[in-house]
Order: sequence, then structure tokens, then C-alpha cells
Amino acid sequence: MSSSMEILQRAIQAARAGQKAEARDLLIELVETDPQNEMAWMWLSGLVDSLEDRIIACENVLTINPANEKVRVYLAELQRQHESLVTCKNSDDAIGLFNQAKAHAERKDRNMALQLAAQAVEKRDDYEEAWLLIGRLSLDMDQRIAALERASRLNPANVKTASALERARYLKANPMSAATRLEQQGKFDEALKVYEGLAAKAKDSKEFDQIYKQIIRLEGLRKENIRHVAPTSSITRLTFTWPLLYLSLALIQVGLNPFKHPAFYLWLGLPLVLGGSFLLSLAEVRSDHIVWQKLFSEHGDGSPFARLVAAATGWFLVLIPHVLLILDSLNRLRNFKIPPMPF
Amino acid sequence: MLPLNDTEPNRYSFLPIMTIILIVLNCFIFYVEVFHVGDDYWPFFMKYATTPRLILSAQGGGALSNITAMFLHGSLFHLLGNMLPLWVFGRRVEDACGPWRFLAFYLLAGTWAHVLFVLVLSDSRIPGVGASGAIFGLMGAYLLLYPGGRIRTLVFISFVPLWPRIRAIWVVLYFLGIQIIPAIEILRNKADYSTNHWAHLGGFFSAVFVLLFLRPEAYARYVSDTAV
Repeated sequence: MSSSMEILQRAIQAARAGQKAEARDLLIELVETDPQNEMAWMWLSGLVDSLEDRIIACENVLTINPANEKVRVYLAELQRQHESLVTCKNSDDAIGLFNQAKAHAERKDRNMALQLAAQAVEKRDDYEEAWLLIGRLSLDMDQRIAALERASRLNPANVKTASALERARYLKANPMSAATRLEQQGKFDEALKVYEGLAAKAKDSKEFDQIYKQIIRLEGLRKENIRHVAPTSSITRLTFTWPLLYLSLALIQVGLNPFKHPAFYLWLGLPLVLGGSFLLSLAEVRSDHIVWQKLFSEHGDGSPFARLVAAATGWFLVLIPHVLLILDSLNRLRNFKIPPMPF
Repeated sequence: MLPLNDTEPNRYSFLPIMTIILIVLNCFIFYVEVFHVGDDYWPFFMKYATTPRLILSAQGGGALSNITAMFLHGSLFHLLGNMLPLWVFGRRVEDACGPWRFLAFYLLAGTWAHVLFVLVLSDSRIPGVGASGAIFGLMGAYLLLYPGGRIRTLVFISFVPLWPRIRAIWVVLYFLGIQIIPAIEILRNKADYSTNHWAHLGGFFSAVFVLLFLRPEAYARYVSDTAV
């Protein structure tokens, strides 16, 4: 018995350490010698790959302990998934499979959605939407590119597919950007995995150090439990900084009453400052923004050149209205008659 | 009570370059004021200080005077009394914002300090000068960003100097507290003033805008309730 406990503990430790295959092998060994071990079947139900095996593991748990409600609920869900798979298989209905896949994708069940979409394209190789779904959901960059290429061949006129394919190719060629993108989306764990993978494949110590710094930074963020702030939100927030200053200065310039002392030219500067401030924020906050694609035909979060151009343009747009405001003040000072001292 | 230093290190940048530039600029302008303006200060202040009546009638330097007034000081004591807190509170606020946005926030706090001063004392023909409105903005921002911060402060107890590390909130509340009664007095009796208490209050309340100016990392820490 003590040896069963030891094997079980080793398997649990392996599973928690992410060594799924080792944990599964140990548990299979254990249930062969001790088929009444409820814990072993429970752990196994989460470690086996196929849906059928999961169902068998859960059924075995319930045979040993019919009062295990959690497993009963889990089994019901697995059986429901299995039924939908079987129904679709039997009806040989690619559309049905694709609709199922879409429904699972909406419920954020990525694996199931991918499995169903893959079955849909097995049934009907020219199913563009299913290929697109695979291209959108797959985390494996090669699988994503292959799916998008297939979709693109099926419908070469689809601009969105072509753009997604280009982006996927860019991310494959620039895996650091892929990690940054995941980070921007707040997927710190996935980004960390990508960084770790890159560190393992680093060409030299310099590259390794660079990646290692990112890993340390991300782990620090996770440790401190820092909340993810979407890049769009940061860009929006920072965009208001310089316009707020300009607006305040312009208000002072018109004697805090724009109706009594109208100076319309001052307000014309506001959109310029707003645009400039937006470009400055964009150059600072790393984000996969549409501006990089539209203005610089770049995928990802902007090359150093694109950022430099955005920052320079931003400063120009921010400064010009401020300089004009100061020139207006200087002009007023030139015609200003100093009043006498009140005391 | 005189704040001397914040002993906590910077997190994002090594050198508070804009705080240093502002201090140097203030000192240089004070030098120009003393040695090149001299006794002919009235026309100089009329042009480059904030005078409520001139601002409201859209006369004089307007926005330019609003900015230059932030760099003018009435005496050496006035200058030192402003530059020390600029260093104490500005360093870490700049660290959280980055140098350029810190400059923008500093100018914004100074501007809103003048806005409140002009609105409250709208009939006044006495020019207002000094960086204190902007510095009160920095104090408020410091309190918002580092509520648990401690400031090495010089205090005299029965003429004995002591320099304990006091929680920033007490230091800021002390300076805020000594503004409120004179400010109310000015409002009620239209009393004469030598210190621009309403500008101090205006600067302090403009501190809420600092959240717009934070660098993304500092903002993420702020919303995560972690030390900025």
C-alpha cells in the first residue's frame, strides 16, 4: 500500500511540475496494480488525451465512489461533448462540426474548438471558414500559418485573411514580438512560455541575457500580482496629457473666458496637440496598433524607425501650437502698457 | 518643519533630470532677477508675473506670464523654501511620470494654481510669483502615489533641531493646514496677502491629474495597489 501511495505522490508531483507524460505513465502503472485507487483514476482523468479515455477514467472513479459529485458533473460534461462529436461524426456534417467549433470558441474552450474545426476540414477540405477558425485559434504558429495559407488559397480575394497570414508569418519570424504581443494581451503565462522557449534556443549569451531579462521582469510582475492594463487604455490615458496642458494655457490666454475674449486660432491648435500627443503615446506604449500597419505597412508593435518617426511627428505637432501660443503672448506684451503701481 | 529628503530610491530611472533642470533654471532666473532687474521690478513683474486683473482682461503676457511667474521668486528665502520641496517631492513623482510628462504636469499644476488664484482674487492688481503652486501640486501627487512614503524632515522642538523620518501625509497635511485659515481669511475679509495661499490650494487640488501623466508601468502598479 505504501508503495501505491509513493507512486501516487510521485505522479502528482510530476503532474504539478508540468511533466504530464511521466505523471500519466506512473498513474497507469498504479491503476494496473491497484484498480480500486480512486485518487489515481481522478488524476488520470485529467491527464489522458482523448475524450473517450477521460470518460472511462471518470466512470471508474464513480464505480469506486458513486458519491463523488464533482466527478459526476465533470463526466456529464464530457459525455455531452462526446455526444456532440459522435452526432456530428455520424451525420457526416462538416457544417455541424464547424458550428460546434464556433460555439466552443465562444465559450473559450480552445482545444475542443480546434479539434472540431480540424474534423470539419477533414470532412470538407475546401471549408474556408473552418480553416480561418483554426488560423485564429491555434497557438502553434506552424499550424496557424498552414491553416491561413489554405484559407488564402481557397479565397485569394479575402484581404483580412491575407493580412492575418502576413501577421502570422511576421510573428513566426519575430518570436520576441509574439511574446510581447501575448504580454500586451495580458497573457503573462503564455508569454513566459514563449520567452522560455526562446531562451532555450538562444544563439549566444547576449541574446540569452536579453531574453532572460524579460523573463525576470515578467516573473516579477506575476509575483507582485501587477494587474494588466491594456495598451489601448494606456495610449488613451497618455493622449490627454499634453492637450490638458495646452487647454489650460489657452484658457489663461483668453482670460478664462473664451466668449468674452474669443481667439479662435488658439482652439485650432487643440486637435494638433491631441494628434501629436497620441503619436507620442503610441511611440512609447508597445502595442500592436493599426497605425503601424496603415502608415508604415508594418506588422507587430512598430519598428524602431516607425517609433522614431511617430515620436518626432508627435513632438512637432505638440510643440507648434504651444510655440504659437507663446508668440501670441509675446505679441500682446509688445503692445502692453504697464499700469501704475497700486501702492 | 522643513522637508529635507525622501530616502526611498527611484524605481524606473536613475537621475531625476527634469527636477534638476527646474531647480537650476529657477536659481538662474533668480540670479537674473536680482542682478539684472534690480529696483526696476514693477514693470518686470507686470510683464512676467501673474496678475489676476490683467489675466482676466486678457492683457499682458497671458499664458507666457503664467509660465514665467512659476520661475520668479521674491527673495532668496522664497527660492530656497520652494527648491527644497521641489527636490524632496519632485524626484519620485518624476520617476513615476518620466521627465517630459513630469514637466507637463509641473506646468499644469502651476497653471491651475494660478487659475484658482485669479478666480478667487479677481480684482487684485498684485502680481503673484513663485513655484509654490506647482510644488503643492507635486506634494499632492506624491501623497497620491506614495501614501506610505516617509520624508526626512527638520523640526525644532524647544530650539533643538531633530530630523526624523515622518510619514509624508503628516508633512503634506501640515503644509496644507497652514494654507487653509489664511485662505479663508483672504476670502472673507479681502485681506491683503503676501503669500499666495489660494494658488497653493489650486496647485494641490490639481494633483489628481497626475494619474494621467504616469508611465504605463507606474500606472499598472497604482491600479494594482502596489507601491508605485
